[in-house]
Formats: sequence, C-alpha cells, structure tokens
Amino acid sequence: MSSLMMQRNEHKSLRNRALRLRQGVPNVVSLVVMSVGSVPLLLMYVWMVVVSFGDGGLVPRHFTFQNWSFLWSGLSGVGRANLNIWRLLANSLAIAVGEAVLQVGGALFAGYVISRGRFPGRKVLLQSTLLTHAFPAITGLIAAFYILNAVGLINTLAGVILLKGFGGMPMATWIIKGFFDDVPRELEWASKIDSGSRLKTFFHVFLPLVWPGVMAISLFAFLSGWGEYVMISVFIFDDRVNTISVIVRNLYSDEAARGFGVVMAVSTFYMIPCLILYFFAQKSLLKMKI
Amino acid sequence: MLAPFMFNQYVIFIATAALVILISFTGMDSAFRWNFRGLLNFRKALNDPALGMVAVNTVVFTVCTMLIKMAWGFVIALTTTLYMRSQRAGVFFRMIWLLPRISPTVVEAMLWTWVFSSSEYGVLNSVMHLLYGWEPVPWLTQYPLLLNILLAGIMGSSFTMVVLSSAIQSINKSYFYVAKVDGASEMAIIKDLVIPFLKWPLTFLVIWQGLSMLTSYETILLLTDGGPMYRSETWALHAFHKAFSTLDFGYGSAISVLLLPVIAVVVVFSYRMFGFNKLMGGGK
Repeated sequence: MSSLMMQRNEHKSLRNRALRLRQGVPNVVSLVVMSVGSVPLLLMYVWMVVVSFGDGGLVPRHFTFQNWSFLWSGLSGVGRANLNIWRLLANSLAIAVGEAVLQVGGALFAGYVISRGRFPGRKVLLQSTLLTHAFPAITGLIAAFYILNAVGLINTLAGVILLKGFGGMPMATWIIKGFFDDVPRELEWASKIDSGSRLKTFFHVFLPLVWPGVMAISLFAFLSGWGEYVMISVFIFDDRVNTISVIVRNLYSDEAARGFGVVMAVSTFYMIPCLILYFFAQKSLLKMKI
Repeated sequence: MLAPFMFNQYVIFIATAALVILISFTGMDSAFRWNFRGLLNFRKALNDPALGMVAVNTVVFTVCTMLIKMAWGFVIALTTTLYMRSQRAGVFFRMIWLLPRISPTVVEAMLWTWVFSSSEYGVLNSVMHLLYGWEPVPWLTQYPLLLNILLAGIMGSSFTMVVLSSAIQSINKSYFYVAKVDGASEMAIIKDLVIPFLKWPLTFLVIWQGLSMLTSYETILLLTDGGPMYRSETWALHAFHKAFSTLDFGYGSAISVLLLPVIAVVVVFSYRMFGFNKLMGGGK
C-alpha cells in the first residue's frame, strides 16, 4: 500500500520535473540562440580594440602602442600628407555638436509651438514632416550640392552642419512634439496664473518635463553628425576640413595588405564618444524609434 | 520660434525637390550650366545597359535585407523580453545589439571589410587557413551582393529590436498567464497572441525599412562600392555614382527622381490606410 503511494508520488514528482524542464526549454533555447548570434558581433568590436594594441595578425603576440602613434605623430598614409588627428577630431566634433545645436534648437521651439499653439496651417505644417521624412537622401544630395555651390558653402564644415542640422529637424520636431503633448494643461495654466510669461513658462515648466526627449534627440543628432560620411566625402575636398570618418574609409582600403592595425586603432579612437554615450545614455537609445 | 522649422519645410525642402526635378531635365555637369534637353536623360535610362541589373539588385537587396532585419530583430526582441528568465541576460543581449546603432557606418563597413577581406589578414581567411589550410578567398568580389545584404540586414536589425521589444513589453502580462493556464503551446502563444499584438509595429517597420532600404546606398558604397562590375550596385547607388563619380548631375538626378513615384505610392497608400499619427510612429 505504502509502496504504491510512494510510487505514485515518485511518478508525480517526475512529471513535475518533466513539466518544469519543458517550461524551461524556451529559456534555454533563447539563451543558446542569442549567445550564438551575439557573440560574433560582440567579438568584432572587442577584437577591434585588441588588434589595435597588437603587433599585426589576428592573435597579437605582443602588446604595443605602435598602431596608436598617430595620436602624437600624426597619420601618414599612402599618397597623403601627414594628417593631424586632433584637427580631424575637432572637425568631426564641430559637425556633431553643430548639427545637434541647430537641430535641437529648431526642433524644440517648433515642437513647443506646434503642440501648444493654435494657428492656421498648423496641421499642414505638421503633416509635411511625413514628406520630408520619406524623401530619399540620394535625391536630396544632388540638389544640396547645387545649393551649397550656389551659396558658396561647398568645401566648408558650415555647409555640412547646415544640411545635417536641417535634414534631421522634421523628425526631431515630431518626436519632441510628442513629449510636449504629454505635459498636462493644468501645469501650464498654473504657471500662467502665477504670472509667468510665456517664455518663463517654457523654461520653468515645460523644459524640465520634456528633458528626456531633449536628451534623446540631442543624442541622435550628435551620433548622426559624428558618423556622417557621405556628405563629407562629397562636399569636402580639402584635407584640412576632413573628418575621421573619411580617413577611416581611406585607411581600410590601404590597410588590407598591412594587417589592419592602424585602422583598428583609429576606429577605436573614433568610437570613444559613441561608447561613452552608449554606456551613459541607454535609456535614451532605447527610446529612439527613428 | 517656428522660423527654422518652417524654413526647412517650406523653403529648403521645396527648393530641393524642385531643383532636383529640374536638373533631371538638363545635361548639367560640374560647370552647373542649365542646358535643358527635355526627356533625354530618361530615354538614356531606358537604354542604360547596367540599369536592368541594378533594378534586380535593388529588389533583391531590399527584400532580403528586410527579411533579415525583421526576422532577426523579432528573434532578439522575443527571446530577450519574453523567454529569458533572467532579465539581466535579456538586457545584456539587447545591449550588444545596440552597438551597431551607435557605431558610425564607416566603422561597421570597416569591420565587415576586415572579416571578409581578400588578404591573408582577413578574419575569415585567417580562420579558414588555420582550420583547413585554405588559400585566401576574395569573399567581397565573389559574393558582393550577399555580403552587402548581410551587413545591412544584421547591423540594421537593432531598429527592429528596439521597436518590437518595447511593443512586447507593453503587452499585458496576464494574457500570457491565461494562455499558459489554458495549456497553449509556445508556438500558439507566438502565433495567436504575440503576432496579433505586434501587427502595427511590424507593419510600421515594413513600410519605413522598405522605403529606407529601397533608397539606401551608404553601406554598399562603403563595402563594395557597387562592384565588381555592378554586381552589388543598387538604384540609389547608381544615381550617386552617375552624379558624383562621372559628374553627370543631369543623369544622376533623373535616375534618383525615378525613385520618387514608388515612394509617393507607398506613402500615399499607407497614409490613407493608417493615418498620419500612426504612420509617423505616434510621436515618442
């Protein structure tokens, strides 16, 4: 009798275990699939850094700063004058910061007015963002070349900054408008009653509440300017106003025969601001749906 | 306060669109002279021997890249938000897949070039030599379109992941408990619960990623530059090459303008179907 009970219990616990195991299957499968899929990607980035400190070859034998010598003695390459990396850095930074300031400034005020103002043509203005968003970059690029040439901004950083800053403005405006829409009307009224001017209301009531949105659009404007390659390669012919992206591009065609050490070092250097933002602004990164 | 934005929407944008359409009717080159020649550029496009292959490449590239982006992005979102018991692990894997989103395109293309480089320093060639003693293979010239699809598809799946993860996370958890109690299989849960909830985000992604793949050229320009012999050249890249390599702005504009009707149809159709707010991703 008791042995029968025990048998039954055993059977039950076995079944429970099997059930739990089966429920655990998706978890295990997910972990395996994601590990197999993600490790190569992660390794690519890690190995970029490893190779940059190596002495050539896929598995470095010695640790060396040789590939990083461009930091103090400049970059010399095939058919190119010695380039000062700090000047390239300053140019990249100018484009990224310039784009962010222009874009966020324009978008912030426009988003506020479109969200809170009532004026004729508001709807048309808002919906025009759809057209500008869908317009292909390549089609705009040719006209942009003509316009820059006509106004004398070809081969200047300012030209690229203006194009990038305005180019991303529609989407940034649309996003920040969504944040303004969420600010409760009561707060706005309260501030008005407390005799705040419109501008004061904007800075004291709205700005703190839409700050996460401001962070998000600034981050993306910065990254987009920092990573820009096509416009710079097309609109800028002067080495003195070049950026790191163009140099990385030139380097990796030269470097294939020499073992990729220098291009890995320059790329790692180029990725540092991105990585800083990556580690400190993940929430904003996960928020951006553009 | 509205000035810069209005200037962009009503002056820059309209000027850009008008200019490029006008230029497509001219034989403009680097001297920027307006010598109108009617439909000559468009007739030239009909006779362009490369354009047939370019069109096929564009369709193949768009469809395959989209499939990879959607499928892999969906797998990442599903596994890391729904199936992994440990939330930490889920966040960790999503973090890894955010890396391509913050890297400059040049760095992504550089990494891809390094992996598939034809030289002995290429990762794949080094590994194959080590394991099987293979001689270096020029991967990039042998499989140019395939490697471009992999680059754009895999590195581009972060966007799908971001959108779908947050969509899955916003599904009410009790639906899953009810489904489990009712004994639904995992497949049934995905098919009848998750997918219906993701219907809109998936449609949204297909529309925008489809449009952006159709007109994309930057990653291809950086990886194989359309070569060898146009084997990885897409429509937008062809326009880019014509305009900025041969400096035939008229012809380049004409090719790029031919993309506009396709985009207009997609945009107008989806606008009618879904409305402006949904189509723009509902703001935030």
